[in-house]
Amino acid sequence: MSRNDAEYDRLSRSLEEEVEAARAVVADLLQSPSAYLHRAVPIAWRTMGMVEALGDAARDTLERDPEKSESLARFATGIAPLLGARYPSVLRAQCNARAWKELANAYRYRGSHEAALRALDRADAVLDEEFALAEDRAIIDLARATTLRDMHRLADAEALLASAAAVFHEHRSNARVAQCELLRGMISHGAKPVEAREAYRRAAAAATAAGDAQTVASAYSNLAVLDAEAGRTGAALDHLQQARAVFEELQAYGEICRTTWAVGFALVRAGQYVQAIGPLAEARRTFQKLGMTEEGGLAGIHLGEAYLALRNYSEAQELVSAIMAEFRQAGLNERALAALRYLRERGAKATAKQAREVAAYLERLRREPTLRFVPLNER
Amino acid sequence: MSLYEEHFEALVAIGRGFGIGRRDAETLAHAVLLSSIRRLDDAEDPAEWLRAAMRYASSGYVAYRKTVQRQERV
Repeated sequence: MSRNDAEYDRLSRSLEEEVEAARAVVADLLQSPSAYLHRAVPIAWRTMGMVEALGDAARDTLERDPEKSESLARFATGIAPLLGARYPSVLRAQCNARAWKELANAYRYRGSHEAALRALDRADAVLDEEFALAEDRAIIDLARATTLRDMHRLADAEALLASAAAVFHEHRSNARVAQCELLRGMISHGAKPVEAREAYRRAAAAATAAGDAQTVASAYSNLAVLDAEAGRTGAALDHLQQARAVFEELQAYGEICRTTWAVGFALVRAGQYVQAIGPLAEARRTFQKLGMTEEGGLAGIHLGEAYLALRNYSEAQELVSAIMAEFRQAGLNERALAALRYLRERGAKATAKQAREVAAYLERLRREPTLRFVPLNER
Repeated sequence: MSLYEEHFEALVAIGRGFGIGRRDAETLAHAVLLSSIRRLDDAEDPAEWLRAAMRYASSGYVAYRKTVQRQERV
């Protein structure tokens, strides 16, 4: 056995043992990961296995608890630079970049897109000049493209996605190819529905073949939204039920919530206001439990739109007041409060169209934080 | 035969195909194999994954060398 071969063998075994040992520690950390962020990292925890186990935990808790996921990922980024020279630089870089990517995902889930991009910059920096890590760079590119898509920087997202997808194709990393197709669909979704539908179908097929249930469910969920937007309500509800079933199996509560929100939103758009109330109220409650105040508020405004369409003014007004209190408590943009105040002050004169206008404004405000709210009748 | 032994020479040959010297090609092949430790479990076809990783590693290295040489000339 050559020296290099022996090193490969030693590292393969020790990493497996380290991850195994770290899982027990991470299980304890999961109780309150933020409590460990400002403490010195014990020497025994400064292992690659620990960073990997924290990264896995951050990934696995992302849906259920994005805040906890952020703490776990931050802890991983704190340990990664402390890894000693017993690990080759290529492995240290791979591990470090992965920790930053998990942190970026947690930031993105919590709506902190600029922070997510900065975390991805850190990931790119540690991968710089590690020629063997092309797939790791593509993974970071895919995470960045996803973030840029969320920020509506579609051209930038599309360019990055194309290069990442080519790398995954060459590596025959089929699960990641499916994730690229899903994102391609999401990028095309608004302006090119036909391309989006094809991409979602390719994503569902590729993810099914690769056994990636999360991507299968996401593809169905997005197909449902496309159907709803095209007025195919029956098909939309069928696709959403398929998506929901898979997400429930995965215990992906954030995604169930988004899917449920999408069902409600589709029903509102289809004019089925009574049927929309249940899913929208459920989505709002779950977002609140997950600490996702903005999403909870938006689902609430859609719910308000349904109430207003049904002329249930008291419920609508009570709801808007509650959303205002939540936004104030979370320290969200004052401009959002101004838009909500406008809706509340309309009282019994408020219309479903005005609620829709406020919801659209709040969506835009997330990417254009200095945008002023000007009601349609004042423009 | 271990996975390392099975693939090492084939990966070095890919690097040599990019015009890289034997020693540097061996260093790259070693790095690719190490990087695969945490990846091959997810790979559809481990051999193809390794070959693709080596092609990217080699082209990245060649591009880097060219940039360095250009900078040295300047």
